[in-house]
Amino acid sequence: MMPLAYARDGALVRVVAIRAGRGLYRRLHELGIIEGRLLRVAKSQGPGPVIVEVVDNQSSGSCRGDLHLFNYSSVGGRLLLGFGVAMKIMVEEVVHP
Amino acid sequence: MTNRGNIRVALVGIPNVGKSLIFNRLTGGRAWVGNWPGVTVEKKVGKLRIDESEVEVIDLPGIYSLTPYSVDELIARNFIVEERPDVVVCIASAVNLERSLYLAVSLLELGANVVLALNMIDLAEKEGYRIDSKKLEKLLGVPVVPTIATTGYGIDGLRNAIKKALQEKKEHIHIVDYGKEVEEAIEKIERLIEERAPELATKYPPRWIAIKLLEGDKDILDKLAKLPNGKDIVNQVNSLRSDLEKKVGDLESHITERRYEKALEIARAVMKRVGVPRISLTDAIDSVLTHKVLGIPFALSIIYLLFRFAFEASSPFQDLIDILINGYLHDLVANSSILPECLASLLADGVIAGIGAVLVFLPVIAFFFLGFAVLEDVGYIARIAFLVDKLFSKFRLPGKTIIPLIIGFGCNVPGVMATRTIEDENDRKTAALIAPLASCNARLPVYLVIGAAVLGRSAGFAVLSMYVLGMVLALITGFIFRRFLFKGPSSGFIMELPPYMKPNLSNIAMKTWERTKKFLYKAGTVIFLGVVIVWFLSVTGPAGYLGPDNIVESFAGIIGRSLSSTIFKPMGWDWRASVALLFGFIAKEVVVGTFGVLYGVGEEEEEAVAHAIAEHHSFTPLTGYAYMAFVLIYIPCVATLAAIRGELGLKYAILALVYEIVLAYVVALIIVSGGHALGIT
Repeated sequence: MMPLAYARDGALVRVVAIRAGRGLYRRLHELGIIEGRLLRVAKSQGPGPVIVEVVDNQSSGSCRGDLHLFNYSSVGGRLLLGFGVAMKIMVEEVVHP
Repeated sequence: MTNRGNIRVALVGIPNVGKSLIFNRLTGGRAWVGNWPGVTVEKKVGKLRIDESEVEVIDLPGIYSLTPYSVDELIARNFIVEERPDVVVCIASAVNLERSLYLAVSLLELGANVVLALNMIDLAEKEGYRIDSKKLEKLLGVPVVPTIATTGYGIDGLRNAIKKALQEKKEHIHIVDYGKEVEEAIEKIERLIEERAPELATKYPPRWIAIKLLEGDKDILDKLAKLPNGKDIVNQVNSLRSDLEKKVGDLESHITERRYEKALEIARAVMKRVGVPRISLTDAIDSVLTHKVLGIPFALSIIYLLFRFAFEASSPFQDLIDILINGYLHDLVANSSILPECLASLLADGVIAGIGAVLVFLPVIAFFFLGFAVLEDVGYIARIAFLVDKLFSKFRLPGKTIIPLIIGFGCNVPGVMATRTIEDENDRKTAALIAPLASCNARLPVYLVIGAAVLGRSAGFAVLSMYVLGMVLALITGFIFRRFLFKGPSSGFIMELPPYMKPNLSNIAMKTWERTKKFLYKAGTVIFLGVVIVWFLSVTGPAGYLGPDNIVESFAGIIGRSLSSTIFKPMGWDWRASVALLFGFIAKEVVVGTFGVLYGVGEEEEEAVAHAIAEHHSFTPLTGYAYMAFVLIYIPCVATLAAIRGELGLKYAILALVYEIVLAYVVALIIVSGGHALGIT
């Protein structure tokens, strides 16, 4: 487990925990960043701010270690999360870049 | 339709869905702008003709949900919840469907009369999927109209759907199932509200109140507590909540999660893959533009190009305005024989000269904002926020702060106003206070004249260093404010990052005009007043009215002399320089004009002014450079102060005024004494 701010470019990660205040916690949920969900890290300044896509968990079944993450369909547009926010989201790497 | 003449349609949507474009398409672009009660956020209202009746269309700020997180969101929520518009057009993005649907679901729960515009369907197709809008309509239970705002596709359909919705309201309050336990609690609270707080139940759907109470919505809890039986109901709700939390965990996140799951479930059901997504061009561009090492140099070059574009493109227009207002119109009035001398002077040297000095900047500011709008529309500006976030976070500022600062390079007034989109209150206040440190276009002529007069070959470098100095000071003061004044952790920043897109002409025109308009409006009101005061100080003295050519004896001259012999003594600035600073309060470029008048070389010719300054040896290179820095920092112009007052209140406008004067003085002193210490004279 590590903060999202440390994730590498192109990694697929699962949200494990969100350690944020009430307002931010809720906002992240509303944007689809919820415990258990997958995120594709489109861009990272590791450690630093990240650009992520929320990925539909259900679309990922067939895909094992596939580097071309096309099988994962992203839901929603890309989000830019500032350094501070990215430090509050704990994730684990599912697919290495 | 309900009572004639006051039918209202609100447009809502998450950020970046093309809401403003749809607003323009619906209303024909004719809108009037007011302020929301209590806050200065703009309220854009337009008219839409449906048959014989006119319908008011209100453009609300972008929101993700009905739970407020920023000032913008609070406004949108209050309008939808309190004013209950007749129809709420929810604009959804086909390429960001889940988040759009989350908002749509929230609106449905509130019992709003929703029409969903499914925008950007062309982009979805490019990404390889199609959305079944008929099925979406069935699942949501409200009309769905596919649109492409950039081309106008679907707008007629949207107009018809609004018309229909005005005649026949569709509701789907019970759209989300929150699970057995929570649903039971919702029903209990619903009954409680209906029986014991019917005032509330007539205004909002009881189910919505129940859900909001379980979510712990502060606003609704307060409303309820104010009712006669309120306290008692709140207690009952609280005990229900704590029972429930034992079963489902944190209730608020349980509810948002369920709602999100619903949005996702609908999205899954209506999205159909029809092709392979093209290899993302956005990814390819981003691998360069947001590169760890190359990103920042690229950003600097792009901003440099933005400046070059603004200056090159605007210079003919600038000359034209200068000739027309400062030349032709000024001379016409000044030499007029019908007006008494005193009045002619007020008009010519006060009003026309002052407004002229400000209007000359209109072209460069307009072109700057045009260039900025292009960068914004293609999606680049958001990337700059990403690039600087790490650096800025060392100063406890979110990366988003860069946006008001860049806009501030054009004009500080829209810069200050652009801080509104920063969610965290402390971050927002800090950003608005440091925004005036961005070196705006009005300061450049001062640098150029002084630089040309005393700095010779290093002038170019000196001018550039002013921009850097402004940014560095903005970061440092931002850090100090954040550390000592607006304490507390930042809630951080989150931004939707649009894919790179072809810029849209009408979008760009609209954004350019909106920002330029703010500058114009301020120039016409606040600056006008300032100009008259300064004129008065410069033509009157202890001896009474002196006429325009006797500044030495005037109040302004007296103030200038006393300033230069006291607090500006260490810097070695003469009385003319001091007077110019006094006048620069109105708008910084007035400093140059004042020098022109004081040296008797006229206001227009910058070269002549520079020449005169050099000839009189008013500055040494060192004191000249310190003067440039002082002009950069010393005070936000009247218009910027008014903008800060509008955003943060009078107290903070005064704070901005005081801290900038102190900071300017300290920096100028450091430059002069540091220079002396190093043996530079």
